[in-house]
Amino acid sequence: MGLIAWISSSNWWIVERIVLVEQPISNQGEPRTQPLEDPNHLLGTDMNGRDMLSGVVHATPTMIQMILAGAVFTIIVATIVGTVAGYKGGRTETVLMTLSDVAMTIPGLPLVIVLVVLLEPQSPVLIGVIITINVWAGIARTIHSQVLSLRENSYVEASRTMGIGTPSIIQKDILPNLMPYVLVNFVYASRRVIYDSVALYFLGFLSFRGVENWGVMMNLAYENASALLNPDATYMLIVPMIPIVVLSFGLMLFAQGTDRLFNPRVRTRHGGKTKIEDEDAAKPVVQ
Amino acid sequence: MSSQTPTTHGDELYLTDDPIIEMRDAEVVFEMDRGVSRVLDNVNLDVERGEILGIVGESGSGKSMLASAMLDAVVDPGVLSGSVTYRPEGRDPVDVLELDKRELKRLRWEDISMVFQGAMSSFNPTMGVREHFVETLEAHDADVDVGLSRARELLADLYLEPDRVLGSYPHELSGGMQQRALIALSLVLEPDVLVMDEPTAALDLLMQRSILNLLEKLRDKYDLTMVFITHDLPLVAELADRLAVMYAFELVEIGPTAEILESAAHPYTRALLNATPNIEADLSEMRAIEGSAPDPVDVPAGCSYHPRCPIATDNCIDVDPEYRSVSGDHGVACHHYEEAADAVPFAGERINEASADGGATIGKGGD
Amino acid sequence: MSEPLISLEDVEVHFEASQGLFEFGAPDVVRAVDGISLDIEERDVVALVGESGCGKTTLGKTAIGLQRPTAGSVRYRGQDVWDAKDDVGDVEIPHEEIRRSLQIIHQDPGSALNPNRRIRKILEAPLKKWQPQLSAGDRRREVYGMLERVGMAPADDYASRYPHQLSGGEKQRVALVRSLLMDPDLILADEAISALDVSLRVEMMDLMLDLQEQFDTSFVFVSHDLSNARYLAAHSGGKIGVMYLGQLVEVGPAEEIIRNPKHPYTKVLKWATPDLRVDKESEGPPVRKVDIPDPENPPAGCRFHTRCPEAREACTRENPSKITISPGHEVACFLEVDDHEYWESPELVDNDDDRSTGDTTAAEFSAD
Repeated sequence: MGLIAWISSSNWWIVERIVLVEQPISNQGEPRTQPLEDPNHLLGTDMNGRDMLSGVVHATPTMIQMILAGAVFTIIVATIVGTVAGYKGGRTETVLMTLSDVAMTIPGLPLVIVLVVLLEPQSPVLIGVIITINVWAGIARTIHSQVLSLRENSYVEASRTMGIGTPSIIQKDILPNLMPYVLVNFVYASRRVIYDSVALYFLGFLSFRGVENWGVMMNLAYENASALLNPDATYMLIVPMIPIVVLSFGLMLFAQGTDRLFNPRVRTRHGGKTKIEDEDAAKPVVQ
Repeated sequence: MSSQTPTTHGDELYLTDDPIIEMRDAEVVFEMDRGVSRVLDNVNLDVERGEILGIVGESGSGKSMLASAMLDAVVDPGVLSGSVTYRPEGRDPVDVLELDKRELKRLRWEDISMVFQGAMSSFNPTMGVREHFVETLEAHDADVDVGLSRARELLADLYLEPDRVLGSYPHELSGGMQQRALIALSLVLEPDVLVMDEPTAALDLLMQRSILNLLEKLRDKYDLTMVFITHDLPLVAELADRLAVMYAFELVEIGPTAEILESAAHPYTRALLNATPNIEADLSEMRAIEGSAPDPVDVPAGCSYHPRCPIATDNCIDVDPEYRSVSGDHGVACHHYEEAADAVPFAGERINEASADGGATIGKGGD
Repeated sequence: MSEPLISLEDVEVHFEASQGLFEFGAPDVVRAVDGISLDIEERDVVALVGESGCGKTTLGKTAIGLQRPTAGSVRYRGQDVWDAKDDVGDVEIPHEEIRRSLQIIHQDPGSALNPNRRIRKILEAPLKKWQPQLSAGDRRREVYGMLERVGMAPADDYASRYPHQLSGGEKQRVALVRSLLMDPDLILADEAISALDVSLRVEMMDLMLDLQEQFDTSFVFVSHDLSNARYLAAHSGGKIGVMYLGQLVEVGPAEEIIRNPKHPYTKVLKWATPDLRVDKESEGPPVRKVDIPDPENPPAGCRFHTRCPEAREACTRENPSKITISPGHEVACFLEVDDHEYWESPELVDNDDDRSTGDTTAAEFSAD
């Protein structure tokens, strides 16, 4: 089930990009067409006549870049900080965790807004990183406590007793058992990026000259078409919301699907033999 | 009784003189994806009033399930069938499986009390020990003051300082103290029967032995009946009046402790006795038991021990052995129990055998 | 006579409880190991017995260089282990070599193996590290050979499994193989059989004895169960060391300790070990108090005095030092010293007859 979800959610992204859709420009069609009215514009058009479907589709690559940039940045920083602090202990731990605590206490959204206004980033990768500038700190904390408990496992002590070096222990003994947490947090960070970026565009902090973004579409709908008040125009608000929801959901299923990858018990149930199947099965009880 | 021909589950074989709990045809079944898992298989057992009964078996043999069945506490989705009758003194017999929730709650703890494995998790870490007692007393509508003074007496009987223990939190007490406090808690409502599942598992030997000592004193002082479940046969042998051996979810042998230790009739029991290091014996061969216990979904037809049994015959593969009487109150479920003594000699006896003639008879053992 | 394999001299391991920001005063100190000297020879088996909290695991880990002592020295063939690690002075045996020769088998088979790695990879790791010259094929052959040696055949089937697909006994055997693959001089078996079913324990011990002979390894076997310790030590001609609250109270050849225990505490342990005789009178424990004193606040003088049935006033003031009774058999008790003031000293009488916690100090006893 998880595998199917994983495949399907990733496929969805691919499909998005492959579908050949024209760039949305003004006056492609009749302005304010309702969805499904005009076969050329399946999801309707916005107030300027731009096709909604193509708008959604063309926003996708940018969104994905942003999300990946932000989530990957966050996860990498958080994992490094959390793991080193948790495993090494001592002064290293104190320094790194204090750093995290400080980063955590700086208010996230205002910081991001300030940075965005100051730097006026255009590249989606940069936007993604800025949005998650703080998020790594909380994740580092949870990874740190996970590592602390993993470190107490006997097999870690066994590796140390065998003289295996710290980098190797972290790589082979700690990280693989940490992956479930890392992945869950990856999804969490991704969703943060989605929502925060949409919010920023929606609120108008990020300018959107020519940028296709679901949040932008929502902002336009809200500002220019009074979509909240005008029931005819509400679709303009809803249509860009759909990919947001679907992507979020897809990411969650993705995380569940990867459990299969990292949990040896799940892996072997489908693939390898289990002990019970191995032994000669005795005849069942005849009653 | 001893000259009787083996009959199927003849009641006479299980009857004790004055049973306080009777289990008949107890069976616990779990429906699972991969088949029907029978974790308790047609168990017939009487617990005599005032005795200490030891139930012995490997982990996974169904012994804990047996204890749960006695209290109708089998976890969902397990289904318990058969009958469990509780005969309190001076009151009508109670059909435990027919009780409703409220009556069952009264039965547990007031009549039959249970101490689970791992005392640590039985306590609520945020509540002090005294609160535990108060909560239990209130939940059963008992007088708190009377109950607490009884609790103090129990704690003192268990070599604990009542004030100190009542005023502490569970984590402040050592493992041995927690276990004893739990035993006191389970006795505070004056039950007739105490069922204990591996009560001394994680404790030091000294504490284990001391607790066993204390249990015997408690039994004498408070007129209790005890059921002691463990995988550690030597441990319970000191304490128990009778021993019941479980293998693969069935009772395979039952009898007075002395008789089991000297002349156990089932090959598994004999092997179990051989497998434990004995501090008094010479360092002669101790034997490990070959093979492993069956999966509850795949229990072999016929006798469930036959894959590991040195005297198994074709008959054993096909036919499940009935319970037979070896003598008096010593029963066994084995087709060839007469040969078991020869086939699985006790460690200490091999020395006798070598000097005696041919090994036809064994130095010790039943007559 | 050559150097002993491991030589512990006056080793102390004291743990300080960490204090919060607002706690003042001296922090609580647990004297897990308090002044122990012990030699472990080549091909020796030493069984350390005692109740939990007596420090036997800490002592074991100190002996194999996993725990740094707060005082005293640990020597491997004459080379101070921690000097080698810190690179102090003339290092004759490099720390790497020491690390390789001292291995461990843990108590809990469930957490002793990395759940995310196949058995094959777990076992190849030590070979990769210490015998890098082996080809992949050679490595595999060695691993499979060892698996078959411990009764896990077909080896390639077991090697491709994950730990959760093995039973407890099998996991423990894998841990044993893992430590042997490094050809160590000493293995610490830290309660290595306590987590197994009673019927599996003898099997595991037989295996360890077998492999000990074959690989010429020494064992330090930590256990709270005297009969297991005796089985292992006696079958290999080794010794048993009895520990109480951080100190070695009696040490000697296995059979001697069992048949002729001298220290009152050893006698208590023997009483506590179940045997299969039925007609034993059920006397209570031969101790005055059932519970162990608080290790953060051990009794003054002889630490066992609060529970010892033979204790007298002298025992509250002085801690007995080791006396040699016969070759290899040492006891720390005044009972063995003929001319000690112990014999003049009045007996200790408890205030009341309760046998509860033994954490009263000497000052609370009235010697009358």
